[in-house]
Amino acid sequence: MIMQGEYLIGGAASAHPGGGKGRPAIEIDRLHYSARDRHGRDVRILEDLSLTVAEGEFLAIVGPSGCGKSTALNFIAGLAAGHQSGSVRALGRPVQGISPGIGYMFQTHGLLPWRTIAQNVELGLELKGTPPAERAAASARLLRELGLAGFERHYPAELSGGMRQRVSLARTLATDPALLLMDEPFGALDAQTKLLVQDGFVAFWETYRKTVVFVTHDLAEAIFLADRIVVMSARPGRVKAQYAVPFARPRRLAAIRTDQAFSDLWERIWLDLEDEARSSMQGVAHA
Amino acid sequence: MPSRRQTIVLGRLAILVAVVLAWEALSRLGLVRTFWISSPSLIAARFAELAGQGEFWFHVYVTLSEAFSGLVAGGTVGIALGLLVGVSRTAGPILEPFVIALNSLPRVALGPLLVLYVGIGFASKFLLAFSLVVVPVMLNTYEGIRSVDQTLVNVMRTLQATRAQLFFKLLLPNAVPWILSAMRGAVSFAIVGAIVGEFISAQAGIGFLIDEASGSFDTTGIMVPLLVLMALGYALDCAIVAASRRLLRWRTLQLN
Repeated sequence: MIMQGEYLIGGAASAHPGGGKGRPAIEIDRLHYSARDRHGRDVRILEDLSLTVAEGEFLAIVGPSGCGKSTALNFIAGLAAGHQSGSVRALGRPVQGISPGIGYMFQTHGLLPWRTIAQNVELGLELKGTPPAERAAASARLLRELGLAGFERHYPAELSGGMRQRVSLARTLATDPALLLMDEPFGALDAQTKLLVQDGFVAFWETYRKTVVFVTHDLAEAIFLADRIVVMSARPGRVKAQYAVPFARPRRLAAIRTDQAFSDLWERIWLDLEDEARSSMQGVAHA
Repeated sequence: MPSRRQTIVLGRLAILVAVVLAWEALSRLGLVRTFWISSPSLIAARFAELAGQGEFWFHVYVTLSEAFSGLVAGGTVGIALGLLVGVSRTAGPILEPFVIALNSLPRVALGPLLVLYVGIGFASKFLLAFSLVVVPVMLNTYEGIRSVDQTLVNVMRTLQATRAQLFFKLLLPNAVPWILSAMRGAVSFAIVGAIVGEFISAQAGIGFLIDEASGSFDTTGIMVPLLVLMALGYALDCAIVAASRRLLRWRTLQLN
């Protein structure tokens, strides 16, 4: 039995942050974006997307494939441009070009294969011109915290998938970004590795409490990690529903998975998502 | 039980010995006339004779210097052009049809024209080797730049890389495996260019020696310089492979 609306926050168009505190780290206001497909037709990717993320909040975005989740992240990072109307602000400034202070972790690890683990972690600092000694200290500290001490001089090809994703996280954190954008960062990991990496990541986040926007298609992952979950509609993407996640921190996966509230929330979000996933699949079939 | 490595070495030796013995047997037993196929022992004897003479090594030196300078110059220009075209968003599409047209041209056929322009000396052989090397190296380098994973580009961009940093820290290292494999292929192109240039018209070089020997129906005299050339080309290839192994160590490492 699902309690209707127990965790639901406001309506679909509501832009209110659920958890977190303080001034907004991200404000997306009525963003419209369409792109040309290869036949020259306009495809609406995002439609009237409004979203606010508070400083220190962990927001998860779930939605059907192709709903524009990654595009939304790219707009926040400044990797995407050319929206038709609306505005995007990050860290108190309108986004123009690549925004400083933002760390972006991609679905694939994106490590440079010819660089050692330490050199990969130090990449962002190296580009900024940080002195070598300082860089080495930063990478050594991060690798230690993420359980990768001793792998500094290895190459990415020598590491397992879970380790590479942690190196990718270390690289993203090395420049000390105020805001972390994560696009299905654990999506490519096998089920067991994923649980271990999630558990490690949540503990890590609870220590540093950076603002995070985390895109995923894994509902359990969203519930376990986030303060608030935004469900996006099928394309064109907009906010369909938002949920506050009720679990206190620090969280441990084993305890949360057996909680009745976990399965209630999971089912509640899935009902929202199911319709959208179906219409997204039909959209693909018609295309 | 021999290891895989030992089996490979033994297999190679077996093939080498079998070919040499069969060859020797064919000519000794008179199954094929020595006039057509010479024989390993005749070749070895002639090589021993020629190896003692400075003149033979002078011809080897001439051909190698033509091939090697064509390889270095063609490689340098090819890499530079490939990088330039790969990085520029407009130069690539503009030049593409011309490069492909040049690549489809059988460039050894440029030989007579080059001799006409620069004469029968070093320059015509150098230019022929150069023209054979430059296009494939350029195309490979271009491909190496274009093949970069878009995620890596986005990683660099979100880490605030400048255009120069994007080039030197991502695009260039990404192209290195392509460049090395192109240079490996280019070794044989450069030698072909030098030899064909010498066939057309020359006063020295291995191609010249072969041409002279063939004029007097001296099969052994054709085969000795050929085999020396093969050995030298093989050594150059080994050197490039060893350099690649060093530079691309990160590619061969695996999780164990």
